[in-house]
Amino acid sequence: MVTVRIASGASLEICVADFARGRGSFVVDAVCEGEGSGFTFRLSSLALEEDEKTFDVHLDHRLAHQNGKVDMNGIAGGASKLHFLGETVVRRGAGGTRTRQDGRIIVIDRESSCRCSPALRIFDNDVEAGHGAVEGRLSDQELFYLQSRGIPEKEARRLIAMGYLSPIATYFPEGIREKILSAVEEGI
Amino acid sequence: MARLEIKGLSAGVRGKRILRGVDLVLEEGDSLALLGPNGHGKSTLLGCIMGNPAFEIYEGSVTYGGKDVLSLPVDERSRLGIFLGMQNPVEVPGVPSSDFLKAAMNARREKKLSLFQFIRKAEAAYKEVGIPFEMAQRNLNEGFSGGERKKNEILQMRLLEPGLAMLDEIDSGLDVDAIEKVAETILKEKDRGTSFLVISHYARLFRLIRPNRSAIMVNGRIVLEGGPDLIDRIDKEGYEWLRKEHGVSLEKIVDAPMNEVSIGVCATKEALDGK
Ligand SMILES: Nc1ncnc2c1ncn2[C@@H]1O[C@H](COP(=O)(O)OP(=O)(O)O)[C@@H](O)[C@H]1O
Ligand SMILES: [Mg+2]
Repeated sequence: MVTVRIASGASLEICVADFARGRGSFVVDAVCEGEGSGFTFRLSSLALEEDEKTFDVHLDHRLAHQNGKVDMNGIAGGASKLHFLGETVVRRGAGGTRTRQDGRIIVIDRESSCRCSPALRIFDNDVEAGHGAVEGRLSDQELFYLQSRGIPEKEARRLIAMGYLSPIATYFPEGIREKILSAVEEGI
Repeated sequence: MARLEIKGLSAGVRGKRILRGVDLVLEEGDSLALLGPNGHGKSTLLGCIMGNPAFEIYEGSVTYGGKDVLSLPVDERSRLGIFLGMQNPVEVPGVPSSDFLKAAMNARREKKLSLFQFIRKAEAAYKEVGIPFEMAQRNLNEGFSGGERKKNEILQMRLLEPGLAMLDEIDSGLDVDAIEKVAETILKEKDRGTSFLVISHYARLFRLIRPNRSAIMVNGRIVLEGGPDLIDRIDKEGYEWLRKEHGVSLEKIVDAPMNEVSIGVCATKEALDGK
């Protein structure tokens, strides 16, 4: 569990590259307390086999002119369960705030399941807010395209999944970046 | 570089019949212009040959070099030498073009290309097709303009050296200069012995690539085959003359779902009677 309070003018960015195995939940509770403060949360998560993972991210905008971004991407394979929950709240008095919340989970096997339902609640009029939550299967047209060039199905799935999870690496310093990419590769 | 034989092919989408018994043979080295009004099944035919999962096959066969194409997974069809330059290539987010190209080229090689060999080949092909080599760093088709996607299809054809290249409206979205460049590349592939099955609505492309045959598809069937002269005729007159001279009804048959299949079959017969 991560609990943070962000003061006026300050901003915090948390990036999580999660290729751990097992069961558990990860809770983030971020309160933007000060005017003009900002919070960003980026996640790439891979759940496989019997893994059960829940990411529960709460972001609370309390004063004016704040910035928020919650961007969660996941792949669920095997018999795993992957959940993206939580909510972003923009309170009355947080006018001029810009915040965006996105969640996307791709299920790659029949037995895997997911829930992607982070919420967005807004109590002030003068707010720029965006929201997207997608649960889907690997696109058969993307697979077809790669396979039509001779790439075997397994490798095609791997390329697409890599393409989906690896962008998180760009937010990490060199050295760690390589570790993330090889973790994605091994996981898939 | 083998014979393609399509026999009695019927196929559709979710029980809705689109192809109604396609018969067509492409001899080694042939290049055929596939013509026909919009929405009558040309793209569906190419999609079925390549194995697009959007389509269901109901009847018929496709062989290439004697092999039963329809029983093979898509990637094996490609490695057999079949290539489809798509009408609307999809974006594949997060997958860099260069990784994709390398995987595709290596899939048909026993000895994998070294990075150096790959770059040399890829750079030459990008140059030939007229795409800046920097675009190899970009994700596959992501944010590409219509024209860039089409050039990217031709680039892949060039790098994969197919025996049969099927090109679906490869010239749409290209400016005149780009069409000429694409045609030059097609001619080079033709010199290698590649057969072509090309869909286009514009005589300009065909004038440049000079197919030796043509076929017209209406309502999911090949209603007329001939030489390249049909291309110019259609370019000048459209398709109306098919009705008068060959008794081909051009009204699109709207098929009921497959559980009312008898209606579909009767309608087909009627439309093509007197051919
Ligand atoms: N994926 C699909 N889903 C539903 N209908 C389709 C699909 N692909 C093609 N069709 C329908 O099949 C018919 C033939 O389409 P198409 O093969 O694309 O024609 P053409 O290439 O000759 O213009 C059209 O009515 C089209 O709407
Ligand atoms: Mg078409």
